[in-house]
Amino acid sequence: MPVIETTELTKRFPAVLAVDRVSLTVEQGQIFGFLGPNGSGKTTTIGMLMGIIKPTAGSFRLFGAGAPRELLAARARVGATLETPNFYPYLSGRDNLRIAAAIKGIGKARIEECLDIVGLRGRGKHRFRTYSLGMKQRLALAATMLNDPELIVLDEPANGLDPKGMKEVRNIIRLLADRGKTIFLSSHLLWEVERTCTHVSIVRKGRVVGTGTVAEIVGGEITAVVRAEDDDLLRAALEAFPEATSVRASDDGLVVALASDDLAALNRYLAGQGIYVSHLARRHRSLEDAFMDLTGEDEGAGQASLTEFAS
Amino acid sequence: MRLLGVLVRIEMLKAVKRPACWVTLGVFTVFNAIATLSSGGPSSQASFPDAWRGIIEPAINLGPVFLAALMILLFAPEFRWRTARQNVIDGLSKEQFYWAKVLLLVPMMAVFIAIPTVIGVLEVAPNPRGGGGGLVEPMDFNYMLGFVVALLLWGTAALMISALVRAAGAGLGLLFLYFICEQIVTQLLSIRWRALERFFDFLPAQLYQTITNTGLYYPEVLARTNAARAERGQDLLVYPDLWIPLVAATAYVVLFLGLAYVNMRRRDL
Repeated sequence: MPVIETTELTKRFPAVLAVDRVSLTVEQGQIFGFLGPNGSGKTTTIGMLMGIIKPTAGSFRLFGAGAPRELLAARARVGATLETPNFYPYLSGRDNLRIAAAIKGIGKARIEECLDIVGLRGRGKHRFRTYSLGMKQRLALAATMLNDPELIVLDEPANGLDPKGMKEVRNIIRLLADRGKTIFLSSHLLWEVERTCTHVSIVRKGRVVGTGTVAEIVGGEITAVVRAEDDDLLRAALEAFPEATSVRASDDGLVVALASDDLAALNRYLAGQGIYVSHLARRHRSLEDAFMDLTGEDEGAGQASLTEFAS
Repeated sequence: MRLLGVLVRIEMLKAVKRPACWVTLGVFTVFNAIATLSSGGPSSQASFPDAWRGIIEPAINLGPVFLAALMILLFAPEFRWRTARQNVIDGLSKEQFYWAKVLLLVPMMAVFIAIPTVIGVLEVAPNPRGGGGGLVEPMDFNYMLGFVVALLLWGTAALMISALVRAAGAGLGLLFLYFICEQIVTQLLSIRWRALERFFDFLPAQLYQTITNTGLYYPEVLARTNAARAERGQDLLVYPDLWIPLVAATAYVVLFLGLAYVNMRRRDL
């Protein structure tokens, strides 16, 4: 039985179609990355799963439960935090957890345990408003862990964190994953997701444009980074190269996706066009590349077939 | 039953630790004490049951307003802080979150009844049972009932405004602006259309004015007021039966609670 299952889930706000017929399945034990640019409908989708936003159409199930009363019980098996950590600024970290614990029916001992896990036991008595962003994020993680949930939903848990904070959050997520939890992680920190997640869905303008394991999404496509004196000329030549499936700009130069891995043929072709490259190297395709292709977040992107990445 | 206990416990924790709650209660206590003492207060009827009128009169005029402000301060910021949404994510339904606020109204009302009572009792303490009869006369009991209804009227109006506006500043502004505007508008319209006066009497602010008026509960106060008005050549005051404004105010309470509930159910957090 899937932990999360959405069918054609849709949310239309007066001015915008925020989520457009999203169908997802998250199985038990997966660390599921839910990726998309800002405003792509990630938080709205999670909001619907958590019962704070009413879907306009479609349906979803949590642990197989779909009816409102069943969903309320199913949510007792979920720990979630949405966007920024949402706590009472005038209450201490510990008191904030007391409220969450009372709602979840959890005892005091567990509060201390969770504060310990996220390294906040010493600051538990201080007011939430005095916490740094990293501490706030860690308190949010502590709140999600209170009921020892089977499913943990984290929306941008590393938002605004420095590298040390990100590492701490990543370690906590791994710790939870090692304990067999299913984790649904929304983020746009792609390298974080690539390092952490087993499965990924990518959304763009409210629609799922790719879903599968990280390996499936990244795919076996061959890409090369090419640099030459005249970028425009190089781009035109690459786009005309018969083996090229897409061309896009990156910080390193132009990234060309190739149908075959014969870089020598590409070099010969460019030389034949009067272009002498200053740099030509095979490149490992990353999740970021796949994300850029699927979401069209970069100029020249978007030529990759969506179905190539579908599981 | 467990859920009820949880809702009360979390709301009390949120309220008790909120500095704004103590500031509001403190200011009310000071204002109430000053009003009680400056009006001659219960000491003018130095013992029970006569002292009740002097205890309730300042409280019924101040208490509901302070209660409304406090309820808005305790409810509306939950939307800005997004803690309303987090409470729901943590396991409450939107309806349960709303009922938690309605439940909070009960202990808060109790506090707003207890403070003037304690102030009054302290002043009467040297001579608690001067007059004959019971500790509470029927007219005093009606006045107390009116006080409770007035607290409910303002408290539920505050809940409704908080649920609709979802911001403390705007909520407080809207509440007091409505209270002032209703009186100005109805007075202006009454000059032109006197027949509308009877309808205006049942608008929330007018109704509140009626149920807080001592003359509604104590015939001798009404008689004294009318004698003074007659001397000045003014129209005599005529109040409806006590139950009419109280039932009308209770109907508003139900309406406000219902509107807030529907709003909470329908709107996303």
